[in-house]
Amino acid sequence: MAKKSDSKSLYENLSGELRRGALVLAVLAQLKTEQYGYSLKQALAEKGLEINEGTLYPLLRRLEKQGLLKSDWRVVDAKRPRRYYIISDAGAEILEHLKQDWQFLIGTMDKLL
Amino acid sequence: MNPEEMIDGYIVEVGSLLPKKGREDIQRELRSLIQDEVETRAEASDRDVSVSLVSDVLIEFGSPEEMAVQYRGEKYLIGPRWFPLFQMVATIVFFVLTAVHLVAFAVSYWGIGAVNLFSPGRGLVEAYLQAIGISFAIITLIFGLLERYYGSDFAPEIETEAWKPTMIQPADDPDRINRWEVITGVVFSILFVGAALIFLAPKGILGWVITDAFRPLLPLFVASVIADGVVSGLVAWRGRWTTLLRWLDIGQSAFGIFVIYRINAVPQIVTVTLFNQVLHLALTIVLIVMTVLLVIKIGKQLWLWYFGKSWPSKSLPNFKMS
Repeated sequence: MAKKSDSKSLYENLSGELRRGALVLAVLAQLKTEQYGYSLKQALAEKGLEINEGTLYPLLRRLEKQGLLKSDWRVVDAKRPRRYYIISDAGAEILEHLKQDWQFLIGTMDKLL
Repeated sequence: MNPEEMIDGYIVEVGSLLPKKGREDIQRELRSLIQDEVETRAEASDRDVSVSLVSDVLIEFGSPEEMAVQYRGEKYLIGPRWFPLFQMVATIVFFVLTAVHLVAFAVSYWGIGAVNLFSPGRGLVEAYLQAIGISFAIITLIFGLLERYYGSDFAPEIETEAWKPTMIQPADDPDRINRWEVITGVVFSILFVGAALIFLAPKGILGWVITDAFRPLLPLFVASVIADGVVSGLVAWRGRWTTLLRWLDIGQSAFGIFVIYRINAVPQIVTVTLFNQVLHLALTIVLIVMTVLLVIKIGKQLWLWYFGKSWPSKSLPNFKMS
């Protein structure tokens, strides 16, 4: 039988996996308007999705590398330069497909659970 | 350490675990993100930016290893914990093999006669490529196994509790060392001395290459390499540079120069006359480089002693806008 700590760790791993895919969807949806890293984190948190910095910021770079986001460095409020991200055309197209998949998945899972 | 130094130290540590390509950009962004987080929290709680505030933020960002793992992506054969060391070992092995084959070529060409570089199965080029390929495969396998069995120790869920921002070394700390680099240096010194003793002994495989005039200097040469290894070992054991260790390092460098000078003064070092000339030229270049490095080391030490701070050579990324 699995120990309590093993079971907790297993739950955390599975829960992490479950969230991972949804995070991409949430980030893409949120970046229809331009945001820098910290403002995006805040915006997601305000809507109830708390994301660890070590997960969110590297994710932004990965999505940009995949061509789903665009970014550039700018000084907006006379503070230091910040990197601003926005969804790309390819990202917007994929977001639409992902949204449909998400709706379908929710419907299916509702029936299953 | 002040808050700014703590952030700098963190960024430098993350950067040291990332590939060169894109490293500076990641470091620049990371700094901006940390500053955003720190300033917002300071404003919200009406606190000054302090070490403890920065420390809280960095704990949430995660240890440098965790952060580097996330930036590099999760699928890798050799993860960020082992990659810098892997890169260094692979580079050293590449240069050593290249040097050994160049020497072998020189000895074969001038000593025995021209060799057919492209003769199938026997040519030096083929042997060289084979040696590079096999060595690279072995090194990759060793580091792949290290990653498989020890890499997960640094996985995010385990490391979070163990890592504390107080472990960060200031980026411009003159006493900062990279322990792994130093340990690798010691290991290579041991391997080098071992190889020199085995191959250059009177009955060794390459024993015939060195002359009787040079042979008495061999123990001195081995002693200088051991001295280098001992100082590196002490630095690794201590975990940082100290004034005594710096002067010991300067002493062993000076001893190394003296030994190379003595060897270079021997008219016939190796039995192959033409190679002997190449060797004298190489040793002269080594002497010049070592002397310049020694002068720099002494200069840095005197600077540190006089001004109480390090030579202004911080390797922090340029955070200006691109």
